[in-house]
Amino acid sequence: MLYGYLRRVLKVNLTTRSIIKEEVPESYLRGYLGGLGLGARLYYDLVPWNVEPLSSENVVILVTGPVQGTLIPGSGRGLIISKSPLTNRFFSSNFGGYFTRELKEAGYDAVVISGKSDEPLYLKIDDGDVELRSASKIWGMNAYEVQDAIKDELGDRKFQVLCIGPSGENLVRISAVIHDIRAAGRGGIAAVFGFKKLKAVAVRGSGRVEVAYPDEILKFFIEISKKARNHPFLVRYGTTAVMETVNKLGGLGTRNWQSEVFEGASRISGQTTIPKHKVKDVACAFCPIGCTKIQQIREGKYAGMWVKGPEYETLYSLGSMTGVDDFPTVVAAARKCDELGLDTISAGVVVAFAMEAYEKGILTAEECDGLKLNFGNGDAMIELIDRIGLRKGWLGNLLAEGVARASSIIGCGSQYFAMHFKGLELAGHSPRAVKAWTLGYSVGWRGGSHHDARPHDIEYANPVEVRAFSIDGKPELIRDTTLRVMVEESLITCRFFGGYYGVRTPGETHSKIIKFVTGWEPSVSEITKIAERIRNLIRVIEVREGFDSKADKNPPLRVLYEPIPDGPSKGAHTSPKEFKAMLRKFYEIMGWDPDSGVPKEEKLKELDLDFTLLK
Amino acid sequence: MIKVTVEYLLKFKDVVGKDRDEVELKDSSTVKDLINELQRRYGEDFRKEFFNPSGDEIGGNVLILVNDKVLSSGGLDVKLSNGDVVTLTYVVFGGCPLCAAS
Repeated sequence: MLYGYLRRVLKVNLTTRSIIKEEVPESYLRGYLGGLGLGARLYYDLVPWNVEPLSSENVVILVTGPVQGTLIPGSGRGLIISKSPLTNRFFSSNFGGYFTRELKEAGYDAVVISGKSDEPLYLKIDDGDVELRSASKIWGMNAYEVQDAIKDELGDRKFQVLCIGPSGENLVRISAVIHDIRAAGRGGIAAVFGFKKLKAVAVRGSGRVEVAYPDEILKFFIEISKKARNHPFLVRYGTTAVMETVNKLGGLGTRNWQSEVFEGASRISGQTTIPKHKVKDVACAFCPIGCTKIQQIREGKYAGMWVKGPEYETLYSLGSMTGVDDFPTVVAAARKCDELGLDTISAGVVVAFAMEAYEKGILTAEECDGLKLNFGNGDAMIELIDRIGLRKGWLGNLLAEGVARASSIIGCGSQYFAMHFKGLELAGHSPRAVKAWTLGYSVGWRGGSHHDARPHDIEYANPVEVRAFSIDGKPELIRDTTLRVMVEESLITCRFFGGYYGVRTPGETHSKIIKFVTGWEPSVSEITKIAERIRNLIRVIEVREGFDSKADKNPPLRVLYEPIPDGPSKGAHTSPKEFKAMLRKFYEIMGWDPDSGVPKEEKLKELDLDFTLLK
Repeated sequence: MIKVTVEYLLKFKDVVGKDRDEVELKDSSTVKDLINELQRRYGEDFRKEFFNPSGDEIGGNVLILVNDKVLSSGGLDVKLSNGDVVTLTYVVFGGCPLCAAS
């Protein structure tokens, strides 16, 4: 018997309104761990090939891993898996908070939502009592209002709610699913909710997650907590203080990556703002760090406005990318995104794209509907975010499609500076200052996500000659960190504990965590094989939908052809020749065909993925 | 004598209580000499932050930049020049920092 899992998946069809509970085969748990692995396997089983993301055939999978609901530090995370309307491919969006702990305590490892309703609904899960309820009264509410409204309607503030705001309802392709004050931000899965007329999922559980070695877990929690509380910046600043160091190393995307040094970084960095604006620390379930900082503006036109963070990624996207260094304005923009249910990363990147197009004369004043979209114009940024989130006006409606689609329609060479990988707007980690990231983003299953591979944690400790001007060892680094991420995303542990659990590859601590929780003690080589199996299953899903090496070969043109013009990483870029050499080597060491990037038959058999081979 | 600027980021800023320092050193001083001077000024708290628990090596999480360039291993013997800017920070960046391991 495996502890830690509930071995039950809840399947809800919004068309037929059927609700069934099914057992999860133990082979799925041992074979794929949970989280990303389990979700990928369910997706493989349930989603037809080449389905339209915005169709009743697409599914939404809310999935947990074995550690959710236990004391394992960093277990307050969850995943939403679906076919992304932004990237048109398999996607997983990671979020923090309390939802997945509650879902486990209600008795489920995963919830699969299929079909499409004609009227707005929300799903209530109260242990075994599962019900689809009308959302007509709450349709249109912003993402904060709706959570309160549902808790009030259900008469229990302890319900944990996952919801969409107006952007998801408007099928904005860069919309975010919101839980509490956090977001499953990336990939536009909120638009899938919106298409299905699913406003929210509310869950309440009264059970508990049984673990194999509770005493060992308690000791482990204390051991890790002691280290984590001494963290040099996360406890005090969260990620808000990362700005200045990234800037100092010349890797901070600025004005749509025209530069990687932002002169205003220190003005919006947490080291400047936290002492003045922080009002509260918040933590996800069972987290000893509490990296979330609530900051509130004290004076001026945004006085009283508060926001979560803004996290480093948001300070990048709504700050340095748009050239805005006024902290209250960045807070107001982030708050606007949260209420609308918009991904702050993608929103900032599309606004920055529009600003560059405007300054270059590609977008006219008329096309911008009266907005003067110069870099640094914070008021215009906030107004444009509102238009994007509600699909208002020609430009707002166009940018709501994401930067890849928008640039293909705007044309006039704007594709050159459309900063995305595989249709997903680029996160705040430089693919030029950290050359390995050009490969990491390109071979990630999501694209421009900073969670697919994590080379910067290692590469930024190296001199610029190594991190920005050499390709030696990069394919191996990306393979290793990708496999580590497979384990983290499948156990679903927070990235901030990666330093304690294993920075480069799956390791002994992962094995220990699995043993303490489930009673099963896979070796490091077994865990590595599971990680490979998960990545290869996702690769099979990609390939069957037409995403082979052709889809991997499209880094932003700016990354390939435009060296960083100034700062500590001056001159860095990834030439097409370097990129192709890294890509080919990566395929080889993954056991994929070096030309097509398709997993070789022997590799799939080695990983017990024979069932994916075409008969 | 030479004068160098020291910038403190993240926890170093909290430990020393300021953003930056101007430090005067003898000609031909190295980064190690600078660190010794900072230890003298800021004592045990600085030493604990800068070195690993055994006190004989730089903590694995500490990142030293000289004029915005990362100092590679063994870099403590690098000679400083008048006007150099030395930054003390950590390997960070968004997700899971190496610093957590130490």
